Amino acid sequence: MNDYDSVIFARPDIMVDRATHFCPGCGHGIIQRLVGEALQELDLHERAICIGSIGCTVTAYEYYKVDGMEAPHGRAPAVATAIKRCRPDLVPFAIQGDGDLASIGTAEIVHAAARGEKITIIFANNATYGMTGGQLAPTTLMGMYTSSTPGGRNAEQSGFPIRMSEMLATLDGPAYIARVSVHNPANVRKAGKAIELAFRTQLAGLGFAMVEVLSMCPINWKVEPVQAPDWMIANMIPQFPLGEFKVMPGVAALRKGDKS
Amino acid sequence: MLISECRKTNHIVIDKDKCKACHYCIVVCAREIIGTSKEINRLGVNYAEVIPDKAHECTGCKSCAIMCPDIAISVIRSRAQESGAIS
Amino acid sequence: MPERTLMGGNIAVAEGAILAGCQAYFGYPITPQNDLLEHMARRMPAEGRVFLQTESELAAINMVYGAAAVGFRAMTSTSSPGFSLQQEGISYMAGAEMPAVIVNIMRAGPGLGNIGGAQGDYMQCTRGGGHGDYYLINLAPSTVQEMMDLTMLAFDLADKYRNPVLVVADGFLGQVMESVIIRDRVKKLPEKKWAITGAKGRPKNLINSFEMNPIDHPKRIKLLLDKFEKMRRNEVRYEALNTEDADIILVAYGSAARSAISAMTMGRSNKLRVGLIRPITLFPFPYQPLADLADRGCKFVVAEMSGGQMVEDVRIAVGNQNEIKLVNSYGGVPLEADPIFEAIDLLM
Repeated sequence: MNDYDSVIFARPDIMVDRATHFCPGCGHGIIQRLVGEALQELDLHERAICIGSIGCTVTAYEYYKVDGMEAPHGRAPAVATAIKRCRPDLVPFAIQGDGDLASIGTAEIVHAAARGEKITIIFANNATYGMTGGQLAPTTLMGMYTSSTPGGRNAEQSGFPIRMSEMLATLDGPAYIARVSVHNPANVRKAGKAIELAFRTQLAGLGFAMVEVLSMCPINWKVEPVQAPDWMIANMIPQFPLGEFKVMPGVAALRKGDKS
Repeated sequence: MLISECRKTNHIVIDKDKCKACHYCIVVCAREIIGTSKEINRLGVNYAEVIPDKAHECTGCKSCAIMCPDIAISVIRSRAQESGAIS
Repeated sequence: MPERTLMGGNIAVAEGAILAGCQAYFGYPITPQNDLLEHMARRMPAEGRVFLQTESELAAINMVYGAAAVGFRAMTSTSSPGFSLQQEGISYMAGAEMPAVIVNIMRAGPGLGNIGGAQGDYMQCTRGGGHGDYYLINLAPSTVQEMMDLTMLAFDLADKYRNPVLVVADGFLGQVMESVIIRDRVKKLPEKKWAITGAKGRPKNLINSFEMNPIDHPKRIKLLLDKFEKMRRNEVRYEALNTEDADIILVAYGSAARSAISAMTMGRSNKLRVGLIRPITLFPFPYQPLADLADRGCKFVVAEMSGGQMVEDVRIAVGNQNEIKLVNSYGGVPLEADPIFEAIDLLM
């Protein structure tokens, strides 16, 4: 580097300089960085509260230089609700997996959304239970192998996958709900914008914001990491279409001020 | 300025001990300047590294860094041509 | 002249919490404590504090956890089936060393049971209740005044030990109305440097029960175990009535103690030397005073509204030599004085 060099991409300062515990090619690593970029951009060092959930996000609070706490499986939206109602100046957020949000925590996310709690939820959907070894998730695709549906998911035994974003968007409480993906640079950029908007929604006091991020899990999809993006396109996106499902006028107005 | 001199002005730095050899960076690089090392890192994998002969072709597009799940890549843009020095 | 008023038991708990500076209340309707929730719904917003009726007891305890984490005095109240749901959250709070007050207005179980008062959660309350190595201080009121006073004490003990504290009552006590002295408001709340209030001007705080490195976990548990040992040494509370010359000792708490006191009075008027040990803390249990009375050769009558749970702790205290008689009611039926008196009479 000399005097004329500028760093145009690096680890956000708000993120701890350490290796992650994720598998090679895991989408969580990208998602956590996007959250870090949003926290940094919005200068939330002194206000953000990172709530770690269960599964691969359990150590989320180790990666940011902000206050953090642990929530039981599925309960992060309830914990965040209390933090925000007690201290509206703080910015609680949680990263939850599909087991946490769509299985054991379904009641908590639905009611936090229905009440319009001013919190930010990042929902990492990889259609499997990563941390525990690849069991059935509420978002597992039809016919997909999991360690607890070894013959592939079938309707008779395990029903059908849940589209959480569409479901929550039917409620009046949410201000912003979007589904994005991190399978290639163009989509990672879009995901980053959506995540930042979800935080800005909370800062503007507009209501509940959730971004569902389709995430690669090469280990449990049984593919090499470099095959995972194609697997995402072929299998995940047809089941979980990308797009915005709820954008309140106030949120749309926030987006108009978008620099890019 | 010649196109080839523009390309000399950008480069990436890969933190080899954070690399898990997922190869996302290799796949998304439009100029194919990233390859795998013959050495292994602390994690026991053949980490990604810039191919020396191709380093000058980096356009500073950041696609590799954007895709890296381990935040192992930094991207530097240089205006070295103004001073005549190349880092 | 202190202010006196007529008040129901559940309301006394609510007012006690407000006097103690409770800053956040989260609850879910369940009989027989709905009036507590409804009272808080009116009073907390009026005091400028946080109130929310939650979607379940599961959500309520997790909201208490979040509020405690930001340094607020937080409370929830429920009854036995809801208390079962809260075990996960309470275990997490004990593991993360969070202060909070949980009120269990017990009803008959197991299962849906009955809405009548009971004392069938004794084991669950006094042995931690959820998974893992932890205990909660259990405060057991027996009068409406104690419903208020012990709720206030609960907040202090919770902050003192950074642990949830249980106020254990029953459905009858929740409804009974008695004259109560309104206590003074707590003026100053303790500072909580460990709270997650935004990392401003300090390194970040973390609230969790998890250790990434398994080697570190036993150290963490040892700290907790030392804490519970401190509770055992310093926080035992009980009432002793007429024990100095007693041959027979009644042991009872909560509503059962009220009947036991009547039975003791009946006994004394029949020239029987009866005394009462009324545990006020169910954990830490007053083993020592019972052991001392056992050494003197006393016989014991345990009166409780359950299938027989506290009687096991009395046996632990007293050893194998002394006679213990259990007099009980269950299924939501109150325990009256007559059967207790008959037991005293038989033992004599």
